[in-house]
Amino acid sequence: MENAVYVGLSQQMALKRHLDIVANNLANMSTTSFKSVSPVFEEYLQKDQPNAKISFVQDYGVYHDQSEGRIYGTNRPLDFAIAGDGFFTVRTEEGIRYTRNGNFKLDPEGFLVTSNGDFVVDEGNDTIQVDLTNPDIEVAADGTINLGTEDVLKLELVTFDNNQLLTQVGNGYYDAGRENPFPAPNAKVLQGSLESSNVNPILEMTTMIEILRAYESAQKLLDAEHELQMKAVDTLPAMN
Amino acid sequence: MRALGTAATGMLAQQLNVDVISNNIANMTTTGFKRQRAEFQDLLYQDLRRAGASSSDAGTIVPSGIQIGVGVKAASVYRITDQGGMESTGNTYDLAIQGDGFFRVLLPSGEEAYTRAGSFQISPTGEIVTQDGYSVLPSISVPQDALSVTVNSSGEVQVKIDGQVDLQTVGQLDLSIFFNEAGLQPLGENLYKESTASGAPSTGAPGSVGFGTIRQGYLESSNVNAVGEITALISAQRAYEMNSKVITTADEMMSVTNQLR
Repeated sequence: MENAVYVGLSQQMALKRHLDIVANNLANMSTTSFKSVSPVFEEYLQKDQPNAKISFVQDYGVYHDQSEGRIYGTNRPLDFAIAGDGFFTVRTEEGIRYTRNGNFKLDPEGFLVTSNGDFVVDEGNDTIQVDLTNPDIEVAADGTINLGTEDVLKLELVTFDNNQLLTQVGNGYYDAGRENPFPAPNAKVLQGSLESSNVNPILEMTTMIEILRAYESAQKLLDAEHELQMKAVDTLPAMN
Repeated sequence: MRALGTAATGMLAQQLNVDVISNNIANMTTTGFKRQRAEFQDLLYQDLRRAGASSSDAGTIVPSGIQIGVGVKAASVYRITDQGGMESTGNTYDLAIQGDGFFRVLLPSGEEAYTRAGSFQISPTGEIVTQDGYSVLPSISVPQDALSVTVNSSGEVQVKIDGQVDLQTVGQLDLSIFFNEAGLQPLGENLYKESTASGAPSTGAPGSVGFGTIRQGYLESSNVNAVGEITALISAQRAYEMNSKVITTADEMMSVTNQLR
């Protein structure tokens, strides 16, 4: 008899998590190259009842919307946006990470680094150092860096068979886990630009309203079940 | 409820965004001012169901897992150092830098500071000083009987002295450049100081490789773009409102739960 309560609860748990995800999307609305996330729900069927199957709801995963955010000009020579599918490769203390946030800087020694101070690497997985007398480097669409010297460096631009398998680890970084990177054929580097987040605020706001209403209706279900039980408690002893 | 905290980080971030934008707008007419931009990053993620975990004895693998982010943080507020417009003033001691570099200024404390605001003046002793009376380095004194002062694009300061045919060179201005000029520490009064983030300065003559040139009779206006700032302000305000709406929704959901009898 309490099944209705548990079904309602499973929905409320899933909805609460959904709101958490929407909240994170909206909080990161102005985060460079942030990709919006949506949960994926599935039915959880309980079949052990003799003549009825009860279906609960379970959120079993998240889906990253990998569509490209709006690319806008910043006029800053060390801002890079990637048009198309691809990631910059960054060497952090935790290992190699991937990011689409090309808001790079030069550290005091002239190395190309991210906002967190992690090294951006080239195709040979080497750090990239710039000459002070020519700090305004030029990067071509294919990632080739013109340092004004004879050295030819190329930014390591990679992609994966399945970008959904990358995990977000904060700071705009992705951890590839067991996925193997391979050179991104379609990635185009745009110097002097950044990619804004692809969060669609209108979609998020309407989703939020839907979550609230669904949550309320699940609550109605719980209330109805509760009243049913109270009635049973009241009337059943009288039938004696 | 996680959403409450997440939305709060979003509101804080937008508040910082508005602070930065308002400082840009306030300094729209400040000589040599470089606008700033707040850069945000997503915070850590909580793994509710780890991607790659096996989901059955047969070795099937959870494809994506559930990660819930807990909001946003400010990664940096960096200075955008692109060139401001050149404003013609016709003033002898108004010097603008076209290209990279900073004038060197000696602070009263004996430390060196850097500036791009070249609205200089002459001290009672004839020295070239900033608006606040700090000496410009290397120290250059203009003789009292000078009829006119010329600063050429490579920083040479020449004076015409009454009765003399040739111009007399009285000094040579130099410029300092940094690897990461956005990392310079602002002191206010249009001055910056070297920091660990900026790296050590490298000093050279204006016009040599990597250094900008000097324009006499011009000032560099701020590089703040009013239209850009106002649109950034509007989107920051809307983002703030949306985050506050998340808080309202989370609150309503909790109040629904509280009404459970």
